[in-house]
Amino acid sequence: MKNKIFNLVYEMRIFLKLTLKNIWRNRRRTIITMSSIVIGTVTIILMQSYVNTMDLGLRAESIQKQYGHIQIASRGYFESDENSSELMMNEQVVSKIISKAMELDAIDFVNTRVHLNGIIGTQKNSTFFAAIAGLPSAEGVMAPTLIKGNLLSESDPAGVLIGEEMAKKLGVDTGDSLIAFVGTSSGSQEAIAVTIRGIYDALMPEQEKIIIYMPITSAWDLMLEKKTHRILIFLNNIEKQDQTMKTLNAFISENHLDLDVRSWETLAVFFKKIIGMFSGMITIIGFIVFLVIVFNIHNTMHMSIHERFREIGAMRAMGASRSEVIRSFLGEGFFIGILGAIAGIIIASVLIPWINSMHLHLPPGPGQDKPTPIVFTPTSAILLKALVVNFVTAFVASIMPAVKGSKIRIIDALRYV
Amino acid sequence: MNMIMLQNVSKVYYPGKIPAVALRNISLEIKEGEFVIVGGVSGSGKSTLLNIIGLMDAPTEGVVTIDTLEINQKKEKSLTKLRRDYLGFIFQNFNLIPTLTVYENVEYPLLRICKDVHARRSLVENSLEEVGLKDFMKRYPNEISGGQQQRVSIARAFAKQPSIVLADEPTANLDSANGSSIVQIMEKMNLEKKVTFVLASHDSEILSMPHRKILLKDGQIIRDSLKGENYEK
Repeated sequence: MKNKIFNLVYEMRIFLKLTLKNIWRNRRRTIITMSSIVIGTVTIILMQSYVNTMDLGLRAESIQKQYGHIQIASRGYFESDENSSELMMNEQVVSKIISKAMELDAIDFVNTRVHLNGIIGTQKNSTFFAAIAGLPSAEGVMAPTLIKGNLLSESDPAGVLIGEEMAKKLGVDTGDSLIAFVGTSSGSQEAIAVTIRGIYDALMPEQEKIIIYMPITSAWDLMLEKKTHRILIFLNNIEKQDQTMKTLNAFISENHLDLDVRSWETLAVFFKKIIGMFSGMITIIGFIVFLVIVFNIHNTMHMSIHERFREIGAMRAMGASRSEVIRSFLGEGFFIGILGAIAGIIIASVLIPWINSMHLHLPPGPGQDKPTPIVFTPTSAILLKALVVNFVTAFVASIMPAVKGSKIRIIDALRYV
Repeated sequence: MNMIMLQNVSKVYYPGKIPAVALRNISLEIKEGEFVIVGGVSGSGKSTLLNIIGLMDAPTEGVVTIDTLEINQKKEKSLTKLRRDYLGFIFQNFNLIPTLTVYENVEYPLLRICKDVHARRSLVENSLEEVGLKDFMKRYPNEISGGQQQRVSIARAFAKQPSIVLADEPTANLDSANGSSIVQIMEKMNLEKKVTFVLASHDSEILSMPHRKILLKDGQIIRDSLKGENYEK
């Protein structure tokens, strides 16, 4: 047994030596071929790491600033486009849900939100607004970045946050007063005076022009009723999202409440579209990289086989089987692939921190007024995927030339000059 | 006992529209341990004959028998095994594997038939000693002379103790001194090991050796010294 293992190891050593020496025999060509795999690996890692950055950023943004982990609303609300007052939850229902939610370990905090549309302005200027009204403590977490002033506060129920673009349009600043008008569900017009507590900055100028943030109490004053559109639940552990949803659904069902519970993933359509678009781009680039590697390896193997025609003939004459010839060339493809992919991973690992430290930016996208930072966030899964995809591609690309090499007639190979 | 038997063997190639006949109706018997020299001008069919005996090419017609085994209709896998077990080759261009050392080149065909490392080592070392290259074991083919390379290829052919050794123009790429030395080694191997030897050559020194000689012309045997025909005629 020991002798068998020793012999196997010895044969493997000869196989490895032969393979690696054949790779090294025409080192310039090997280096050029490996370079294509290195470039392919680095490209895939960079692209995937960038999409990962986008994914993480948008995911965090979607959860923290827009949706929370779980939302609860009246049945039909999520399907309706308008923030209709008919689909609002009354105070009793909301407090029942909040009480239940706060009993659960996974809950970090809860926000309730009302959405209003109306006109806001000074005596000179006015503009349309869409108000997001919530609990000031929770909105403090969800609020966009302030460039001036303070966040919403319980102690300042009339204080609101407006966007930089709206502030410019109305010619107002923090501390200034505005009048907000909305139409109520009874058909009357209501107005309240608000004060600008802070001015925020958002990625999209359109958001800055229209969206204002206000305490939910001010919204109730305008609506003349204490109703809520949505309950937003924030978890301290995303792993518990499914379990929490199950518990809340069970509670809603037990209490015969006509409510709908949704996870953030089902609501974040924009997030899904963006990530889907980038994933699609990566697939296309990955396919191009795949083709480049396939052609390169294929070409290298063909040249290698032509150079070693006589050698193959001699090996076959001495009793090497076709499968041994195939194994020999597949071994070369495997090593070129894996060495190239490892080199690509090392280069990407050096390149990414360097690029990240340069704080590079892409020009603003459509509808944006700020450049997008170029940040790469690689994960071990991305590195592993790049390694596997590239060396498997290299290995697969060498199959056809290897099979072709094994089919050479011995006499033709020995005669080859 | 016949080691090689060819009955009415013909070989026709089709390089274009017109067929080229390489061998015509060859019938031949070579006994175990015999040393046979196949002569003839270039294009006479020497190499084709060796290729057919070496199971590297199939005859268009006729029957080939190696050590009582009829070869016709055998599949590629069986032919590979037969080449591995029965045959040793010495090529005009040596055909050593440049990435392996002298030792590893001789060991290479043994990897498939001798699984014991120690036994293999002993076979390789003995074989290299017999061709006087034991001290060159760790060198690579490009680090030794042409004559030494051919001696390595002889050691490689004999290391696995084959029943038949086929040599196609083994001295063609060597100077006369090296050529003589190679011929002497081959004769010695044939005498000591009783290996059947078929050698194709048009080297006058080889053709003057006191062994059975077969002369080919246009794919036909025109003289066979075994049958009392004078080769020199």
